[in-house]
Amino acid sequence: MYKFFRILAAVLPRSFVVLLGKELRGFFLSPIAYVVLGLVMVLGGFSFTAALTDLKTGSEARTLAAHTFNSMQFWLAYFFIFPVLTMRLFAEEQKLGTIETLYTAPVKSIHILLAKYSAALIFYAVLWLPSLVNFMIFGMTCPDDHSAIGSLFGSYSIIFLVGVFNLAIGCFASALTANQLVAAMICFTLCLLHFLFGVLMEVVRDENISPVLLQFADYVSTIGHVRGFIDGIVGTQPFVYYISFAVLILFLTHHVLQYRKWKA
Amino acid sequence: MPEDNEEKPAKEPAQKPAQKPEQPKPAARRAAGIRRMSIGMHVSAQIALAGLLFVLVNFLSYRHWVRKDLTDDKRYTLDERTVKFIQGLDQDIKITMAFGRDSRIYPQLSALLDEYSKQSGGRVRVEKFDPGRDKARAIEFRNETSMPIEGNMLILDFNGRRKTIAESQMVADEGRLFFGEDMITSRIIGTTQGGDQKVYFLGSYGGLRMVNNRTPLDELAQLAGLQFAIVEQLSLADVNEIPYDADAIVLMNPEKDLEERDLEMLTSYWENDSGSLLFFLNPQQETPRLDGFLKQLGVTRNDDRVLHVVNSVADSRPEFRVQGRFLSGSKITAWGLVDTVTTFSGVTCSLGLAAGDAALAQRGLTVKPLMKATERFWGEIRYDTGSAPVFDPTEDHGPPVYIAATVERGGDAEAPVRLESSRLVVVGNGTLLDPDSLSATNADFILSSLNWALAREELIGITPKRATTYSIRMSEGQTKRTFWLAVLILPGLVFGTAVFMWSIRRA
Repeated sequence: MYKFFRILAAVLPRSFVVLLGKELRGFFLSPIAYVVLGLVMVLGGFSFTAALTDLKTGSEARTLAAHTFNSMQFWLAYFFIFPVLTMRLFAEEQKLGTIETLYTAPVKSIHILLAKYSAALIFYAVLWLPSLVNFMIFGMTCPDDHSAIGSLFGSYSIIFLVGVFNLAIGCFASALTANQLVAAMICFTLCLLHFLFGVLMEVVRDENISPVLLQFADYVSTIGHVRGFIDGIVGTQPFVYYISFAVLILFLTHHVLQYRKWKA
Repeated sequence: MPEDNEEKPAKEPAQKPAQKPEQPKPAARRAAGIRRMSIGMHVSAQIALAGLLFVLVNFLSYRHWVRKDLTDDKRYTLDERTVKFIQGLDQDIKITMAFGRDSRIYPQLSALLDEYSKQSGGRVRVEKFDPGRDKARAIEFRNETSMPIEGNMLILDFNGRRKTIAESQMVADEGRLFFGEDMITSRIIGTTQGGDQKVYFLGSYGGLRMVNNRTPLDELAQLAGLQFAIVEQLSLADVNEIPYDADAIVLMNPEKDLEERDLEMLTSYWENDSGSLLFFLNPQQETPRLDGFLKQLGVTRNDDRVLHVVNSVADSRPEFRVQGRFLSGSKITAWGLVDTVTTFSGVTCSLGLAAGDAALAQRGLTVKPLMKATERFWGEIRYDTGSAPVFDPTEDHGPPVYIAATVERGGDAEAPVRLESSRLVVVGNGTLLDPDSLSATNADFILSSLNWALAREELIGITPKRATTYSIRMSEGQTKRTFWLAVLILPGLVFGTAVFMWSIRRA
């Protein structure tokens, strides 16, 4: 880990690397992080065993990974992760008053933002490693050929992409308020609204809906992206959409931080 | 009064009267306000520009995208033959996908149509709408085309010529077989080339064994229908000549020999009308006229049975189910059947081929072997002795034992267009299309043979995409252990780590 940071420090601004290290220590040395990790493992474990049961009962055209990440229950529970990871990022520092110390330190607010966001993203990626280990162990021990590497790659890609986007929303929500609960609620509401927009546009049967809106909904629909990726179709559109939207939200977050900094 | 010697209290310095804080001057206040407004406007402009950039980037991404198919069975990738064909289109064709979102094949079909549009460079234009939700568009479409939308369907429009494909035509076997690509490609071919092709099945010669309410004719009709060739029964006794619209004639497992009159019609069809023939022979039926016709074309039906002997502890017995290997050198097998081994049920006779015969070449005939039995099989002459046969090299037919062949009259393999050539596919087994023994490989072979005979080489090899299915064999105990491990033990360890962390921090 020390070597990792040395390499990073050689390439990236030192202040960013120092802040990133501080945030990662904050995550990994906190009991809350392990509770979140444990809960995600429980969620993933339930989905995994349910998928195994489905595939045991008969031949299916979907892979083990597609079954694991396809249920609506999985996706709705999934959105609780983001408020938990991001609510304390800025709100806690504002409440404790330590944010002013950061602002007065010789570090740029963009470095502060990116360090916190990157730490949350790294921890989010670590959350999914145990489920990947489930597949790897199962693949090594099960005699059936169900590796479906494409589906596995697609599934984890979309989980990561959606995480990139939702963590950015979480950072934004945390920067808006000093109250962690409010930040969590804002984050959860925005993330879920975005997800449900795509679901509703598929379900609603209203002939007054404009075709342009339907095309727009197709483009932004998370559930549509998920279906494609978990089957093994990986396209550039979701990559561009989630990453560009995350950049836009982080840009807005930066301005919120700047406003608070100069207002203080 | 204080004494002079007494220390006088220190005189406190005179306090100045409290001063009011200095108010910024109005000009300074105005300047600060202007500066704040200026900053606000700059930030607003930045945010607006960032939003605009976001919209532009995503608009470009919506119009120009790359998609990678990582599925095991490449179910979302077009066959290279389809790609080659649609890239060669010189006019636009419009495909309207009137499908509800709840259709099981919607994602796959939608992705496939996107590929058609992308690979054709825009020649294939795709419109998608949900007739259940977008009723206005459905009504508008009906008014434009005079075609009602009945259920989920595709409508292909080429210069006013319209063909439809219903959802039910694109799936089979409870969704495990998806015929989208071959249906769409053959429909495009049919639409751009003027119409479907007609295949006549000589039903009056029998070979229609019914199994589960299906006959070989039903199987052929389904296979041919996938690629828009219409199959009809034909009784040669009812006509004076082969119908002018006959693009191919199929004779399957005949239960009697050809009539003299019928033979003359077929011979005329072959020699004068660029006919296409598919013969699946019945080894158990003597057919001297049919054999004579084939012999003229360089194919000899041997009076044998292709078999090998299975030795068990109790006895030895002949095995008539033949394993055959597809050979290279033919367009029928070139797409992916070469060296594939398949099984023929029933009985099979071997074929003697006059390949490379100079006399045949002078007549413009080219004979090519298509399939041979695997090495352990031979053509046994004395197949009806009742005892386990033994291979006799002096009279039996040893390897290579050919069991399928093609004959082409007047064709040029290099020519881009088939000109005045007749084509024959002959197979020494008549049970390939029996409903209870039709395998996936044999179906692909028959479809490819049909397309070759119909000179639709573009379609050879575009076979239904069979979805890879997944299943897992686990005992109850294994399932329970997996559950315990994934849901309780491993997360429990992590929760334990959380408690440990908490206790360390508390300490």
